[in-house]
Order: sequence, then C-alpha cells, then structure tokens
Amino acid sequence: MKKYIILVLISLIASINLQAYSYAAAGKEPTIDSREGILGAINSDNFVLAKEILEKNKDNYLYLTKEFNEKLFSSLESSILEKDKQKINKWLDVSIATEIQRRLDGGLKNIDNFNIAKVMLAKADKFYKLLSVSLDKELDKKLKEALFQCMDSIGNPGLFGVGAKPVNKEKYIENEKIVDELLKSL
Amino acid sequence: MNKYKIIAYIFTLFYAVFILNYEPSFYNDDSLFLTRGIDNFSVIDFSPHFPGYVVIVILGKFINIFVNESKYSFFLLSSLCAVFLPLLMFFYVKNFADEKKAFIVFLISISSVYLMNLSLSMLSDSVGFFFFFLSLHMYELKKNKLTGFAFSVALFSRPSYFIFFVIGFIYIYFTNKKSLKEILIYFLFGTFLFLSYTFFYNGYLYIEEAIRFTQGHFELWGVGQNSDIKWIDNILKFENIPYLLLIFSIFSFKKEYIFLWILFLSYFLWMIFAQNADNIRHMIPLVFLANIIIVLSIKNKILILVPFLIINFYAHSFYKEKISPLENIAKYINNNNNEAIIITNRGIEVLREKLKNKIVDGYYKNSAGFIANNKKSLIITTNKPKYKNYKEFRGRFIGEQNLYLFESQN
Repeated sequence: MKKYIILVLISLIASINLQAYSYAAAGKEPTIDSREGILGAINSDNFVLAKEILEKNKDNYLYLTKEFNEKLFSSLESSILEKDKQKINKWLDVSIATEIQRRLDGGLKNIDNFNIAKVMLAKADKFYKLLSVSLDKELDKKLKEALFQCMDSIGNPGLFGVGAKPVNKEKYIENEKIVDELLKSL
Repeated sequence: MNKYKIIAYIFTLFYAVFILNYEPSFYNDDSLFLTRGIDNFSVIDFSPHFPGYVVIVILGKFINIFVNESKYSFFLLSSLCAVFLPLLMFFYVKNFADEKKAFIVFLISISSVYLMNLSLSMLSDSVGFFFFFLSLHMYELKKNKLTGFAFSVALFSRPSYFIFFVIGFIYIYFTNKKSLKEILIYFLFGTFLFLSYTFFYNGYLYIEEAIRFTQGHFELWGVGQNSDIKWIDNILKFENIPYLLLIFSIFSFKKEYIFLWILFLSYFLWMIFAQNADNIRHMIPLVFLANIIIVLSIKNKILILVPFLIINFYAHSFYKEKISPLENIAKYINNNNNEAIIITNRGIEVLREKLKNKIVDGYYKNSAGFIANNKKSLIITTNKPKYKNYKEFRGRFIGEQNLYLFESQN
C-alpha cells in the first residue's frame, strides 16, 4: 500500500509544478506592452499615467525613433500632452509599424541564415496583425502581399536539401522598400 | 463470435456513420492550427503550435494522401479515434473481466455526451486518449514492445496527458520490473523517431518557438482564462449525475483495479491544479476511466445502466447544432455582408481565415477597448451580454461554449 501512496504523492507534486498548454499571443514585446498600457490609460482619460508609461519606455521609443521614424517619440509625447486620443492611437500604430521595419531589417541582415531570418519575419507578422486593424483595405492588402513576398524571398533549406528553395535577396530588398514606403504613409 | 462483440461492432458502425454525417468544423484556433500542420508542418508558424503534436501531423499527412483536403483528413483522424474508443475500451476491460461487464463499459461510453466532444472537436484529445488506451490494452496483453511504442505515440499526440505516462512508468517500475526495460526501450525509440521528425522539419526554429511559447505560457497568457468557469462548475453538471456511483465504487474498492484508481486520482489532481477550467474537455479522461471503475466495482448492472443511459440520452437532446459556434458566426456575418471590425477572444485565426472583416484579438483588451469605444464593431464573447441585442450561437456538444455576438455601443 505504501508504494501506491508514494505514487499518488508523486503525481500531486508533478501536477503542481506543471502547467497546461494554452493559446498564444505575441509574447513579451515592450512596444506592444507599452501600447497596451497607454491605450488602457487613455481609455479611462488618465493622461498622466499615459505619460508615465511613455517615460518608462522612453529608451525603446527613442531607439525606434532614431532608427526608423524621427518623429515618433516627440509626436507621441506631444499628442499625450495635447490629450488627443486619436493622435495618440495613430502614433502608437506608427510604433508598431517601426517594429515591422525593424524585423524586416533584421531579416535582411540575416538573410543567409534561414533560421534567424524566419524568426524575424514571424515576429514582423505578429506586429502586422496588430497594425492591420487600423489600415485601410487597399493599404492593408499591399502590405500583406509585400510581407508575404519577403517571407517567400528567404527561401527554405528543405529537408536534407530536398525541397530546398534558394534565397532571393533582390526580391527581399524590393519588397522591404515597398513595406517601408507603405508604413511611412501612415 | 460472441453476441456482445457483434453488437459492439454494429453500434460502433452506426456511431461512425452518425458522426461522419457532421460537417467538419473548427472548434477553436487549435483545430485550425492542427489542420495547417497537415499541409505545412512548421511550429514557428503555429502550424500547429508548440509542442508540435507530431503524431497528429504524421497520421494526418498519411490520411491526406487519399483525401487531399487537410481539414477533412484531420476530422477523419480525430473523429475515428473517438468513434473506436468505446470498442477499444470493450477489449481492454475484457482482459480482466467478463464480456458482459466489458459491454456495459462500451454502452455507457458510446452513449456518453463526452464522446461527442471527442468526436467533433477536431483536437488532439481523441487521438491521444485512443493511443493511451491502446497502450493500456497492449500492456494487459503483455505485448511490451507495442506498449512502449503506443505510449510514445500517445505522448506525441497529446503531450498534456504527460501525467499518465509518468504514473504509468512508475507503476510498472513498482509492479512489473521485468517488463519495464523493454517497454522503456520501445517508448524511447518512438520518442526518438518523433523528436527527429520534428527537428528535421523545424530545425533550430523549434527551440526558438519553444522558448517563446513556454515563457509566454508561464509569464503572460497561460495562467489566464476567458471565462469565470471553475472546475467545481464543470464537475457539478447534470450530465455527471451517474458518476455519483463512484461513491459506491470507493466502498467496494478492489486491489486488482488499483492502477485505474491511481490513474484517475492522478489525473484528477493534474486537472484541478494544472488545467484550464474553460475547457471541460480536460475532464474527459476522468469520465472514461470512471466508466470502467464503476462497472468493475459495482455488481448490480441495472443500477449502472439505468442512470447512465437515461441521463446520457436525455443530455444528447440539449445539443442540436451541426456546426461549431465559430463557423456559425462566420456564416452569419458573411450572409449579412457586415464589414464591421470584430473583437473576439475566441477563434481569432479561424475568423481571420473565414472572414474579410478586420479581426481584433481580445487578448489585447486595451486596444480592443479603444476600438470598441471609437469604431462601430462587433464583439464576440463567451459570457452572455447584459444588453438585449445579441445573437446567440450554441455549441454542438458538452464543453463547446455558446458564443454571443453583439454590436459595440460606439
């Protein structure tokens, strides 16, 4: 009987330490998390909190501003100070757009390393899905197609070389430019 | 051939025809992800999501050679595993009880509303549970190699039945050391095969996604749920009334069936502490294990059959829908040419695939709130809205939650 008791106890410990599988979201991403925070704050008209969240994430926004959109931080900050909800939302969308540019940029830098490029593009896709809601139909369609073409350009190493597809760097650069232009029009 | 066996075969055939008359329809995003895995196995693309459910992918791809439609292939795989489960339980019970008892287990299992859940939900549960029972059956037949391999097939069909395998191996270690080595070797052989297949297809990306998924699961979204349901609500359901008989089973406990009790109790603890009460389907293994325990421990068969059959058949009358609430909603929105933004915490990817509308993931509740406040949108929830103007889409079986569709107040 003792061994059966041990067995049940082991199962109890195992159950406490393990978790079930569940659905997934984009994962930990400071730009998404701060966007959520700022939108939560302005939903309840708490612009002081929105400004605090912006300050807390200043480094991340400054990096995106420096690399991808020079107006991002100042415009987001001024729209919070002006308490203009639509403008705040617009600049938060721009922050998501810069994350897409950032991942595409990473994809290009690592285009000869399929695994890294693929991770970058998978992340770009997660950001795209968040942004897509705010885009008009035509822009959304063009952006989706250009992102698909980038994904297609990184090729595929195949299974032991079977079904392998070569990298097409020119096609990637061409479509990355399209994405950049579309996102700059926001 | 024995009459019970013949009747069991005939009932299984009728049940198969009944189930295959349903149109395959997605229960949630996981059903879609598993289906996508048949077309293109890539864990980083959520096709399917981590840990990959590689056996489902392999078997699904095999069926798809003949069917050539991944959704139907997966429906066939998941529904047929459920269809044959009561028959497999019949053969399993026959190993240590007479055919009459085995047939009663078969009857109360095939008539169960929970079997409808396994048959129609297009998830990994039915496949995992079928192969788990197959491994139990093989073990009783003393076919160690097949037991070990079937164990690995079950684990890689549904990894969250992990607790069964831990307990199974510990039990074998304590009670049948002689067989353990052979079973373990074939289990590890299967494990090696399935892991190799997964790595060959996904490479380093599998590790990358494993980290993201596990981190997200533990730190972000894994501990939450989309409704207020608690396990006690799931347990105290009308459909579960016959399981009060388990109380009699405790008092007529027989040592030879202790393994079944250990599996039952271990899984019960696992469910309470580690499974999301949103999904009543996590309770299904308990239901079928309880069916066997009750029949083996209570002598009066009428006492078992009457409550089970009356409640099972009555409970079937609660469910009349032929397609899932998600696909019903998609159909409704398409038929009404409604182009509003949709905010949902259920079936985001299924709706993205079925509709042209923009879909907002309700997980990001502040973004969703901003849109609901500023744009005309449709909201889908599992909680009945307080407003009067909503449309209800009912589930097809126990555990498939009703969905409610209503317009945001803008």
